[in-house]
Amino acid sequence: MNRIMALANITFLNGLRRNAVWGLCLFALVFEICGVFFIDFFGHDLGRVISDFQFSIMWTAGMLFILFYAVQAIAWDDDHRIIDSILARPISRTEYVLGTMAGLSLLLLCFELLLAALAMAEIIWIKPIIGSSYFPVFSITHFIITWLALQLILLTHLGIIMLVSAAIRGAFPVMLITLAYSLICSGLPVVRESIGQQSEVSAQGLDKILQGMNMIFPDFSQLDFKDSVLSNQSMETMIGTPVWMPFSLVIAYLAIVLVLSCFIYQRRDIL
Amino acid sequence: MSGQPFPIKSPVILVLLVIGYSFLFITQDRHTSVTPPNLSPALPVRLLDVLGHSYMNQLITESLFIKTAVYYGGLNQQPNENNLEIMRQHFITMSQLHPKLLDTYYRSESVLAHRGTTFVQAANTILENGRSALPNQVVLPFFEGFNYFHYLNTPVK
Repeated sequence: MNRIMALANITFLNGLRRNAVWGLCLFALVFEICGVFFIDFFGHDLGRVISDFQFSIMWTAGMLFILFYAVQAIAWDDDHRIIDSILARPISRTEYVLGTMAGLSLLLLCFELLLAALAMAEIIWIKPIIGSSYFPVFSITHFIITWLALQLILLTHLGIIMLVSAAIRGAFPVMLITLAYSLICSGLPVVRESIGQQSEVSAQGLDKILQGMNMIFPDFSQLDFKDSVLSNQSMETMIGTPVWMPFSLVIAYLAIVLVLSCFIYQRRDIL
Repeated sequence: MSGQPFPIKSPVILVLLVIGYSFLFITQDRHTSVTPPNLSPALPVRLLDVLGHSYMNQLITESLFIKTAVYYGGLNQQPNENNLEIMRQHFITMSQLHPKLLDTYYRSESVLAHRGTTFVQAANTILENGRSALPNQVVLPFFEGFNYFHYLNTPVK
């Protein structure tokens, strides 16, 4: 456990030393402030617009962090031999996976926490200015739950990078495969919906296959609670299921992905 | 030039280059800023859903809304059939991609509803999308009822 913590600490500090991470953080914060000007284009649903804008910025910044920094930090590459220097020390492959994942997750969460704090401050500041006709409700509890759900989406992508990096060398292929994974995850529900409208027997068979694929490529839109931020209704009423259900499903998925990465790392020849 | 180093030490060169670039930029910008407003058709909803990874659907819809508003505001004459058709397509896309955005329904009602039978029916289709997503918004059935009563002359509906 100490070795995992030490590795997580090194990964976290290494991330803090990267100017690119600070640059991304700065740009994301500036974009969030621009939300104030963004709502000027709208006339009625101002609360929804600013809330959607802030969460979209957090999602985009998180994905950029994952695809352009985390991939470089994890992937085996001829230019990036971090893994060699770490595994040269008395540390197991499992500890490497868990330590690196913990360090990058901590860095991502700190980064997203900063963005969330600014987003919440901005919304709380602007709500009385807009007035209750155009921004009737803002639920802080729902904001936090929505933010946690967003973090789970991002952490799962981080886990997928860990898994793909275990199997494939090179940062660029890992980035492309992760991007493809993300597109499949968002495209699969669309395909299932269109297949579900057909009543033929062959379509039903295909739907079963797609259901199986959906277990491998989960539908992250079930963790999109942005609409609830503007409502006082209970989360359960809004999403139709108990709120712990999508959370526990994706946490279980992430655990499987990490254990699988540990298995693959243990069986790979690093050199 | 034959093997001698050529260091640029004087800031005068940089200042001259910046002035030259600024002059060219302003000249070029004068030509490009007079182009007529243009609105390309919105991509299909399902494709936008995939491209936006579902999480970005709201922001994509809001960007489409701004694009349509800027286009409509930039028209210096009464919109013709082509202008209205392209805006109709955008409003339908918005109402399907992010049906909870109230601005779509106010804007589509004010832009489309009084432009003839085809467009008032389109406005009603858009409002029906809104009614299923926002059942508590009384303004949406009011708009729809008003369209049937006033523009389509079918008060029974």
